[in-house]
Amino acid sequence: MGYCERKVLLQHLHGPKVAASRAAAQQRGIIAHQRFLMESLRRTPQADSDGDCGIARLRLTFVASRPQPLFERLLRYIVRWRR
Amino acid sequence: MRRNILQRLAAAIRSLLRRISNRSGSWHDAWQSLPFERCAGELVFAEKTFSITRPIHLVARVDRAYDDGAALTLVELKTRHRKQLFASDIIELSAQRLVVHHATGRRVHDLGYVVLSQPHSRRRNGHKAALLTELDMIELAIRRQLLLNQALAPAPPNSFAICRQCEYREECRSTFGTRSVT
Repeated sequence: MGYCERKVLLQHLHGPKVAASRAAAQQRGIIAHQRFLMESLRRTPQADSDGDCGIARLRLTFVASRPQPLFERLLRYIVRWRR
Repeated sequence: MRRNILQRLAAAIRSLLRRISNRSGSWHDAWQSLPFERCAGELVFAEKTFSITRPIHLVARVDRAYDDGAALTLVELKTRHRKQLFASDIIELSAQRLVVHHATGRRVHDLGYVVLSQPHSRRRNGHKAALLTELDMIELAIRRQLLLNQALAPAPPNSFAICRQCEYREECRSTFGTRSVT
């Protein structure tokens, strides 16, 4: 197999276990997929899709089009300053 | 007075952000598009789930599928630091190929693409992957079932570097004893 067979069995016996670092990576993956989907639908709106998670979409409508993380930092600074 | 200025400033910032956002949409798309996408054909599926019960029970979600008229080309997105394909990527894409072929009845190319996205810079690279045949996938599914039924002894990983990040190190050591890296 392409991965550890022992892990496959242990996962089956002991249930799924996710380390904090892996959970964070999964979260990043979900966001990246959401962004990927939005790009797809922006380019080809007629593409057949299951759609996406509404909450992630709300978050992404804001995040997806940012060109740089610097932009996000600036926004955070503005929001904090406004408070 | 001060509140009024702040409100006007906030409105100006909002308008500026909207303009940047509208402009960066197409710019971002152009920057992110990969060379193979230009000749892969028309995008037909995006984040679409397919399931089959024959020849094996399988559910797979396709990130993107392009149709060039002759067959579908599958694209899988992965977020990772290393620009390296793993065998699990190829198995995943091959499983998608099997499911899409049986669920839609359409031909799927033997070559797929794995798009590796850097987590922080979000720079993407497309990697071509030769997919496994249907027979290979059925063999894998049977082997997995035998492993879960404990009719087969599970093989250790090819590289023990992956043990360092494994969540099951303790269980592995207590079940299989040796060969787990601490």
